[in-house]
Order: sequence, then C-alpha cells, then structure tokens
Amino acid sequence: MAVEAGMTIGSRLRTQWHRPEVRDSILDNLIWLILAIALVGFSFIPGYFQLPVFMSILVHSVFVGVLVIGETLCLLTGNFDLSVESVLAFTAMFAAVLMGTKAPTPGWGISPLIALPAMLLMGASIGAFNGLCVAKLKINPFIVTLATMIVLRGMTIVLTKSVAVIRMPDLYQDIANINIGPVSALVVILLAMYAFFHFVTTRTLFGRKLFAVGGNQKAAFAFGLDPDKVIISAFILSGLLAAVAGWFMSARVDAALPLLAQGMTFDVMAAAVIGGVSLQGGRGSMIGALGGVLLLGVINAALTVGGVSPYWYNIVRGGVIFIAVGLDTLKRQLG
Amino acid sequence: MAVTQIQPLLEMRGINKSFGAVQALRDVDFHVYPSELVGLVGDNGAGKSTLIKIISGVLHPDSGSILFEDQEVTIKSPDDAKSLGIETLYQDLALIDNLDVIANMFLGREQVTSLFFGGIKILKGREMERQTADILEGLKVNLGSVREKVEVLSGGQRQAVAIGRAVGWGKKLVLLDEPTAALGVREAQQALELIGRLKDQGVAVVAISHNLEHIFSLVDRVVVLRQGIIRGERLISDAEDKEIVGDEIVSMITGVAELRKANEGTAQRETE
Repeated sequence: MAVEAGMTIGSRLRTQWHRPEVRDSILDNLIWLILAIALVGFSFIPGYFQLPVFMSILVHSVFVGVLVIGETLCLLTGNFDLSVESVLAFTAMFAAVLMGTKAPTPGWGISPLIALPAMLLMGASIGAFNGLCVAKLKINPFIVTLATMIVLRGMTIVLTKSVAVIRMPDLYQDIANINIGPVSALVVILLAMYAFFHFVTTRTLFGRKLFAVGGNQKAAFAFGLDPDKVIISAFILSGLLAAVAGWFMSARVDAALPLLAQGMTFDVMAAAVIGGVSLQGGRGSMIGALGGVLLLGVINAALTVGGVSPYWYNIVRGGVIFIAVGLDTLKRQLG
Repeated sequence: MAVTQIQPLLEMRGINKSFGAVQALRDVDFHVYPSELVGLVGDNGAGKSTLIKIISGVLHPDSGSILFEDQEVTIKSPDDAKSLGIETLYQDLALIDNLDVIANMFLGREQVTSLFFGGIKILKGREMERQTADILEGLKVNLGSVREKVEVLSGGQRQAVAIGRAVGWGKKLVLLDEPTAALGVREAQQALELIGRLKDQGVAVVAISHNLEHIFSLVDRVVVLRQGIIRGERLISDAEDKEIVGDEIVSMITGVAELRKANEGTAQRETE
C-alpha cells in the first residue's frame, strides 16, 4: 500500500514537472530552498536562532532590498545600474542640505514636505540620464553607470566638503522609527514593495515589455514595442528607488554621510544574481531577488553572530556568488 | 476566377530606394491581391529584402507611392504596418525565446484591463491563453502546453507560433522572409502546408525564398527581382507546365533572359 501510494505521488510529481508553469516556478524559487537549508545550518551557531537576530537581518536588508528592486528592473531589460549606491548617497545628502540648519554644513532649512519629493525627483532624473545615455546614445551601461557612480560620489562629497549632516527633521526620519507590531515599518514597506513589483513584473503590460526587451530587443522592436522607452523607464525606476533607499537609510542613521552606502552596489548585484536574475536579461523574478537579498542578510548575520573575523567576510560572500552562478547554470540545463 | 478584376490589396508604384551610391530598388511596381500567395524571388542583393522591409515599415522609400486597400498610405514604422494589417515574419528574429507561447502570440497587442486611467495595465492572462489555444487549433498545430517557453520548441513549432501570431490577428497581408530556411525537410513541408492554410483564412502572403521548389509548391504568382528591377512575373497556379515556367524564372533571376533578348536584338539588327 505504502509503496503504491509512494509511486502515485512520484508519478504525479513527474507529471507536474512536465507542466511548464510548475517546473519554471520551482526552478525560479530554488533560492528559498537554499535559504531554508542555510537557516537550518546556521541554527547551530549559538545565539543565532533568535527573534531579535531575524528582525535585525530584515531591517538591514531593507536598504539593499530597495536597491535590488530597481537593479532587477534594469537587469530584466538586459542592462544594469552600478550607480545605485551613489544615487542613494547623493540624494540623501541633497535632501539633508536642503533641510539642514546647522553650521558648518550648508543648509536651506526647507521643509521635508518639499525636500522629500525633491530628492525623489532628483533620483528619478539621474535614472533618466542613465537611461537616455544607454538607450538613445547607445553607450554601454557599464560605462555610463560607472561614470555616474563616480561623479555622484564626488558630488556628494563636494556638497558639504566631506562633512556629515546629522539630525534629520522628525517628519523625515519618522519612517525609520515607526513599528508595526514588533516589526519596523521599513520592513513592512519593503515587503509591500516586493509584492507590488512582483505583480508589476509578472502581471502587467510593463512587466511583459521588460522581459521582451531583455529577451530579444530586436524582435521586441519588430513586434511594435519601443525598447528605448522600456529601458529608460527601468533606469528611471532604479534611480527613484535608489532615492527611496537614500531616504530610508539616512532616516535610519539619522544622518547623511559622504560615504553612505559605499560599496553597496556589490551587495545589490550579488543579491540579484543569487536570487536568479540573469545578467543576460529577460530572466528572473522579484520574489527570487528578495530571496537573494535575505540569503545575503542571513549569511552576513551568521558571520557576525558566529564571530568570524571581518577579514573573511568578502571571501565567504564571493564564494556564495560562485555557488549561485553554478546553480544558475544547472537550472538552465534542467529547464 | 479572374484575379485581375479584383482591386489589389497592396499596390506599390514607382518605388525607388538607394543606400548611398547603391540603388537597391529602381522604379518598382508591385501588387498583391487579397488571399493571394506571391513569391518574391531573386539572387542575393536583388532587392527582395529591401522591398519587404519597405512594406513592413522598417525602411522608407526615397520615392514612389503605396496604396493599401485603395488608400494611399505612408508606412513610417512597423507599428504603422501592423495597424494596416500587415504582419512580417523574419526568419532570424521571429520570436522571443524567454517568453512563453501565449506572450509571443500577443506581444505588441496584449489584452489588458486598465486601472487608474491607464496608469496600470493588467494582462488578461486567461483570456489570452484561451485565444492562443483556439488560434493554434484552427491551424491544426499541436504544441503541448501554450505556457511553454518558445526556446524549448522545435524549429517547426516556432514557425507555427510565428504564423499563428499573424493569422490570429485577422491580418490581411503576411510577409514571410525565408519561411523554410531554418527547417528540416519534414518541418518545411508542414510549414508550407500551414502557409497554404493562410489562404483559406483570407490572408494574402508575400514570401521571399531561395528555395524555388518550395516557392512553386506554395504560391499563385512569382515575381522576379534582379539588381533592384522587376524582371518579370509568372502565374504558377494556372501554369500548365511548371517545369517550363521554372526554367523561365531561373533565367530571369540570373539575367540570362535579358541577355538572350539583347542577343536576339543584335541578331535582328545584323540581319537587317
């Protein structure tokens, strides 16, 4: 009896596997299996399996997490945006200078109600600039966004002559202090953003266009789509989301620092790739990318709680990317 | 049926197109009747692709006029061509691999529900899936699941999806660039049958091919281009002896026909 039942389940699984929608969604969500395995493994580290640790992982994942959404949109079109960390820092510093009142940093004393929309608009404009260079001038996205990243970091430093602006207005930083139940509002917002953008990428016309352009830009054009518009939109959203991340981070830190988020692009690209988003474009999902963000967070926390020397961090994280890329190759062979 | 009494679906008059110093098309007159299968043949560089690209809106003629359903039109982009009812199937970029059959079928004209005054357009997934299945069934094509990504399909299945795209959309004119070039013998045969079924659906077809055998088995009429000039045309469906017509066409493609004519001319002059 038991054997028979086992066989029916086995054959049922096999028929399910042959249904493309089932197979693709299993392969797309392999990251969650890896995340579960990692959590089980890390639970042997003393002091790891505790609610405060997980809450801290989630809160620390917010900033990378928001950037990864924009990055994934760009990656899906077959491009990428290296400038996100600098857009984050520059827009945060820009808002801080607009709102600032204290010497020695320059300040305009403008209300957050104006400064916030201004910083979001600034982020979107930088994204539009990147997008226009890539789509219209046909400059390689690596070059464009690398240059933007360097220039904006420089501008962030120039804005205050490398001085940090501390103490943000309450209205501006409240977002980082509100809790919904035991959870930070930032975490709830992050999850809501992923849910929204997962819906956008899988169920809306814009999402379909992202995948089409990333899959085959020439064919997308021949089918009557406007690939330039799609690419520029993705970069605008990436810039806008980087500004949102800049808001969240400077609100959380209660300061805008010249070197805010420096090197974060590395984590952003790593999380997206680990989450199954292809650098070639047209493949990946928002939910998978979130899995990548959380896995990186879980690993970082394990390194910290486990007392691993910080000198080893990058070696471990680099190793994780190798494993992720290996899995991606395996996935393509299975799929 | 006397084809000539019907108004042409597409009529092109005096089309010229140059790329720098090279004149790709010279004073080309070309027409297609409704439900007609036209084969466009010629050697490499004869101007076939240029002509097809002008009809599909990818290239623009330097001079000349285009009439579609008796209306003078300017086809500025592939979008314009699509809204007229002209669909182009390129051999190399016919489909988007990472999307499923449904998405490919509906790409560029997805059915959506608009929310927030068009701010968010949600795809009607079920509706498009059902219609995709219906279209393919109508063409007697079986692909298994329409949710399969097209990258896993065979060459023939991909062709079927591409053709299904055109048919399902009530297109009036389908342009095919080397429809059988990438296919095996059996698959090519199936594709030809499929294209033949387009005629029954009331769709006109212009096909470019190097494979004259395929063209002859498919089309009603063959038009020959050489060095950007229309050198002649032959009705295939009425032809009593296809072999003779075939030889004539080959001599038009290679230019032997003109050479012969020219020689006859000189011969005549000499005798005079």
